[in-house]
Amino acid sequence: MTMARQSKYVTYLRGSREGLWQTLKQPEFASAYAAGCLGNGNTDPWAPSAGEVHEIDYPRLLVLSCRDQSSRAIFEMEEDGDTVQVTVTHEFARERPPVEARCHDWPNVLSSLKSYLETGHAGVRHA
Amino acid sequence: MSDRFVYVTYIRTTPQKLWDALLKPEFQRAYWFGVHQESEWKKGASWKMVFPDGRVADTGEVLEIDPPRHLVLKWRNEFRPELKVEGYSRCTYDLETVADTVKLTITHEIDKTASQFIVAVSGGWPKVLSSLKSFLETGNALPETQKYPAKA
Repeated sequence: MTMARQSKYVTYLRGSREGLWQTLKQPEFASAYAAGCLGNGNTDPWAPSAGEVHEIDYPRLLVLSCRDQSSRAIFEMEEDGDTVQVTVTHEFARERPPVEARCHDWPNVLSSLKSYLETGHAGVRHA
Repeated sequence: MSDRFVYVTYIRTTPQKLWDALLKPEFQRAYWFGVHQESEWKKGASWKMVFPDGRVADTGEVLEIDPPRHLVLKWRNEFRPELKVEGYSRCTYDLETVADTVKLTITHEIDKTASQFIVAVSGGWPKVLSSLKSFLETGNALPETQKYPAKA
């Protein structure tokens, strides 16, 4: 699938890739990035029926697709000591994606994820 | 035409604590690779970023300041000739309370295209701001950012 447009967000967090992976699978985070970023409503992208987990190379690479294939989010995780660099690249099939599918929410989701891994509390999300 | 880098992060703190962490040298050194900034922090004041060994990294001027919400810096690299030649950039800090966090938006832009300076800051800001978030929320910056890299 050729993608017309992409956005990228990078963050660094203290922890391991395995710990990050487990957190990504937790329903509160899964529904947050599915709803806020992939435009999939409250669907859990890890649920067997959803078919949205597109590609996995544990614990380095995860690709999640929107159900209608109009966008996909690529998580790349690199470890350096006890820091993990997370790069989320969100690709869109169309140059002008529908407003609800444009991702304005990755900074919020990833800030919350970083807080959760480092402090045990995700914080209150505004969305 | 201009090149621009925008980064947003949400930090569980207060605007005043975040403002102090962004502007005060004793906090900057903890999460910003050991560098610090010097300025009187008022409109028109000069501004510079200084390496741990005293060399000047960047210089500029405070263009706008409204504590603890808004800051605009005129900003030029001084230690890499290929970046210095691109001239002055503009860096805007915006702080906004969102629920129990502060949303920090950094917008760094320059009036040219294919800017190597913007490429350079695009790599630096995510590290510095991730470390700042850790510093304010846990008391510890990320290990890599606690001192200046030995090779540089």
